[in-house]
Amino acid sequence: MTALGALLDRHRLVVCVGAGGVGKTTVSAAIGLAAARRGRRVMVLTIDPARALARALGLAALAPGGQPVPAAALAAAGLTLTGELHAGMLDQKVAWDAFVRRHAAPDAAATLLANPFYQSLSTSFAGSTEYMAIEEMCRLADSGRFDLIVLDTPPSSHALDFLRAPARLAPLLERGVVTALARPAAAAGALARFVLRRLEGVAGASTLRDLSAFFVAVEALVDVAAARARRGHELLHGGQAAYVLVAGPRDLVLAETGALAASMAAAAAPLAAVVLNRVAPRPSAPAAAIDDALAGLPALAVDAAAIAWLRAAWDDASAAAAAEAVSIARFAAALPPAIAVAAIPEGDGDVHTLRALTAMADRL
Amino acid sequence: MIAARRGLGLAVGAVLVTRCRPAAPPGVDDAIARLRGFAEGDVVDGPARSARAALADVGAPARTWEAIQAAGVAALEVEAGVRAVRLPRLWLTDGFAQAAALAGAVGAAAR
Repeated sequence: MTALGALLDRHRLVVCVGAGGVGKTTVSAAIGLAAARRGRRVMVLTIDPARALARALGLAALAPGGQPVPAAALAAAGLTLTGELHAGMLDQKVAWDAFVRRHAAPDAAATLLANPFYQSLSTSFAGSTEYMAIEEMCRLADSGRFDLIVLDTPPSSHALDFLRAPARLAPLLERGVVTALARPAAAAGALARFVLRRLEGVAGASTLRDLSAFFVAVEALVDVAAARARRGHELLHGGQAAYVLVAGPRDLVLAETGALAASMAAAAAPLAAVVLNRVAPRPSAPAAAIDDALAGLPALAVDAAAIAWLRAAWDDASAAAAAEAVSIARFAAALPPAIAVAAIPEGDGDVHTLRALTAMADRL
Repeated sequence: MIAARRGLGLAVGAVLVTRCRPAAPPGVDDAIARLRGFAEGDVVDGPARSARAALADVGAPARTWEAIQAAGVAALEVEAGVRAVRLPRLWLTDGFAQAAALAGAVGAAAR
């Protein structure tokens, strides 16, 4: 552990951002494991069911609310943690329901949970996942149970999308808007009442009643939601969070990261580290020894086509490692020195064991 | 995307797949197994043994990814109804050189 060590000791939150398919969930778990080995009580919260990762952690599945990595799994991997490692998955429907139950009066909660608009919005509204991820992050951070929350954010083409997404929900939760929508007939004039009657004819009276009932129930949560949003903003932008970009080692990603770092700094969400995942590993034998090994293959009854393919695979791996090393060196030199860079070599598939996750954590 | 084009009455056109590994001939899996077998035995000396192990360590994941890629491209070809043009993996750090190499590969495929 070199590049990210200080970052893991200093912060209360590590927010992993990046596009889909770059191994962000696995890197988040490796970051959590690395911090737990440094003595911190860690919760890794992911939005990805990541069954292979759950199995690697000795868990049947990543459950909402999280659970500790079993001592038996740690012992089997020869690991002794001075801290704690917990992992959980954000199920946005479960999280929204729990949020409503926590913050609304029992009658209002029951009404809202049964409302068809709530049931649809709590699973499909744009920004809903991100909003609830931040809410869960606040809840876990404020519980006092953990020293560090590692948040694996939903995939996005731009790292700042995660921070911007909750703003899409904000207009829905503004008091004036909700109050007007909760009491449309009272708030509106004759023209609006005329429009509402026409809408009833199209959508049905029960639909509009459901919609109105939804906003009446939501009204009770508006102040709570606003307070939670402020708390989320404080945690995310108040210097307690470290943002880690997980990316592949492709040139385009590397070229864009400098601009991304500048825009994140401007948004008071400074990029603390870049983890380049699945970097081509440097082949571990001299070219002459490989030539000899290939020359010896006919004696092992290996045909010429297979030997040529193995030669091409070796040359490809060597060229990939050399090209990526040049790109990464160029990239690291152009980044502000405060941003740590870690490179994790590509394996031959998903991380299936705690040992493999430990090897990844060692690279951070 | 293919279904969307069909829905609009548009032809699929050409399908180009970038970063393709060369198709593995039938003997590759056996060759990797032999490299591993000899790497673990005591028939050859230390440096030769480690070179064979290194070759197997590179060959095995390359073969895994090649098989995944071959299955994916085959499925794409069935869906598209056209043969895909397989462009090679290139590891050039210069953008112009990369574009020139790709242009050559596309031109060769078009002939």
